[in-house]
Amino acid sequence: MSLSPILTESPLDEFAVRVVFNTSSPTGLFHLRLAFDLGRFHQKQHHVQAGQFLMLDVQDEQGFRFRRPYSLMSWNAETQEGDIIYKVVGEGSKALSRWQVGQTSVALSSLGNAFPQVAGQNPRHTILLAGGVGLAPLILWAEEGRQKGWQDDDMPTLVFGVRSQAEAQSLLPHLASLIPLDKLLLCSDDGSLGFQGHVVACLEAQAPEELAHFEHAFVCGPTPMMNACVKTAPTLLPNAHVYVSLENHMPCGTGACFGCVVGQAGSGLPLKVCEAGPVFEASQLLWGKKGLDTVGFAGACDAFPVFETTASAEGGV
Amino acid sequence: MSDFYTKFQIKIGSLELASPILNASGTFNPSVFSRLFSLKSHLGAIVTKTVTPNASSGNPQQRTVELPGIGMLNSIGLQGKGIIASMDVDIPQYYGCHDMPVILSISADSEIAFQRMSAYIEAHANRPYLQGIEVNVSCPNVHAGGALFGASPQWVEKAVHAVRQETSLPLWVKLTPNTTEVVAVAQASVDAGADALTAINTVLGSHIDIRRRTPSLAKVSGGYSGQGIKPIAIHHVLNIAKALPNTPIVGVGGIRRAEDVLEFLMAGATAVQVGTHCFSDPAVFVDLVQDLDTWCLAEGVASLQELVGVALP
Repeated sequence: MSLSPILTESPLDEFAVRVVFNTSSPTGLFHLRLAFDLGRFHQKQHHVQAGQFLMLDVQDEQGFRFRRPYSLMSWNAETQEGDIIYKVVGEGSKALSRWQVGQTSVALSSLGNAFPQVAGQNPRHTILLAGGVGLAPLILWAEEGRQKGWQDDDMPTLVFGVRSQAEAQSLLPHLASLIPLDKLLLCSDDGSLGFQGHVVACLEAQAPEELAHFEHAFVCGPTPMMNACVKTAPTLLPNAHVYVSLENHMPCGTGACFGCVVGQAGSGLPLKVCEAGPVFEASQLLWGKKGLDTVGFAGACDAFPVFETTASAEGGV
Repeated sequence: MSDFYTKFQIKIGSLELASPILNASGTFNPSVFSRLFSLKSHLGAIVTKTVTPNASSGNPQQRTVELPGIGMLNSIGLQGKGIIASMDVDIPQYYGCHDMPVILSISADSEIAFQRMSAYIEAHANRPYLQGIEVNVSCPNVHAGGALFGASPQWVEKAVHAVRQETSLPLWVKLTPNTTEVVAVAQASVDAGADALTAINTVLGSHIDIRRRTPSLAKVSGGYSGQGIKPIAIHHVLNIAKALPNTPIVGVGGIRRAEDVLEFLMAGATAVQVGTHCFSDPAVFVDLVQDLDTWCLAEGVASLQELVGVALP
């Protein structure tokens, strides 16, 4: 059964955040813990649902930067502390990597929709496909489930792909505390951790009957990885509805700039990832050869009424 | 802040606004921003994203480039649903529901398209919140080989005249800096019936991705905005204010702090718009109101209107 991503009622606010720790691993994967103050405008505690994201102010002495979208990997409602994992891939994450313990910044949160709840259906029929730091929203979903009382039997299966063991090392205790080991499939490009190969190759190596029972697949990772998952899902996960959480470049995250759009399947119309997503049913989106089609939506406006602008139409307003 | 003090009230022609601080077209999402703070208590009016006669899906990705420290480039491409669907859905549902004035930004690629769109707006203008039109002339003129409409005083005069003859709504023209004739275009706008001038739209710019060895934007060039263009905007506001002392100016370009607002007012702007900074800090409006209020108290300024044009040479 297909479920809709949830339009959440999470209150939106601006939060002062303070760095609890910001550690790096030898592979360049960073683990940042932030403590959230009460919201500036509504004076309420921060609240998030897995799939949603926050926009983090990473400006430094260089001045203007767009805020950066991050998903929390873990959220402790009691201490109001949330964890982010990130790689240094550009100027924003480079600035973030220099953050010191005690340093403060600002986050706008929580934005976007959330993964569908599988209430009434057993979450063990859900498979989570994570690539690198795309793990964050998926493992938060598992954590939310544990808080709702999911037992080992109920837990989803997680396939987690990384470049090498070192990249995943610091995350393994957290993963193992949430996902039973028999439901945890690890894979790495160099074979140093678990199966050698990427997430799709790891799925291909499983017995088809083991995969046939999955009704939902939640995917988050680099675009080529999500693309491969979406393209192969009809064969490998024949009974699963596939959802992706997109990690697009987002200048504003608030639906104001129209900078993050992707094409909608069928109509081809551009959809704002930050407002309509970031969680989408994969079949809702226009996919190209290597990933999301970011060009094909041009000219797709048939859905809207035509307004005559020629002289011959004069008087016909 | 519950409401503006009288010190924030301004008049742009016949239009009275509770504050000189507005948003720039295409940089503001009322439904999300209003979840943070009361729009009515922090902005004088909402300016809509530019509406075109027909729906447009805009430009391909990549549409934006961050320029650290100075601003950004964009080539969004006026994505939208077209005037009919916008008037039916977006304008009432996103903009018209905040109990405050809405300025409708419009653009078209020919004089006749401007005229017909204005007639359509006028025929549907029985909405109290719709209190003005801002004509965006930073688009290609199909009857001039695709050259920028706003670059020529003659073309702008025709476009503004086409709008003016169809509507009695207050009319602002948003000027492009991408011409050597900014003041002449401003004059032509006023001659054709504009009530106010918005200065400035984005400055043409480009950026190369040195890793891919290609332009970063799919459309190669786009509009440069943000704090780096503030001196250019101030320059144009000064020149227009000097040439057209009786025409209100809405200053826009690189505003992020109260000091920037004060600069624009002193240069001759009656009101201002905040654009790019909305992307990196939606709460900027709250800070601007608080900081301007504090500044006025410290300086003994009873009304921001006192400051308009005081720096004009």
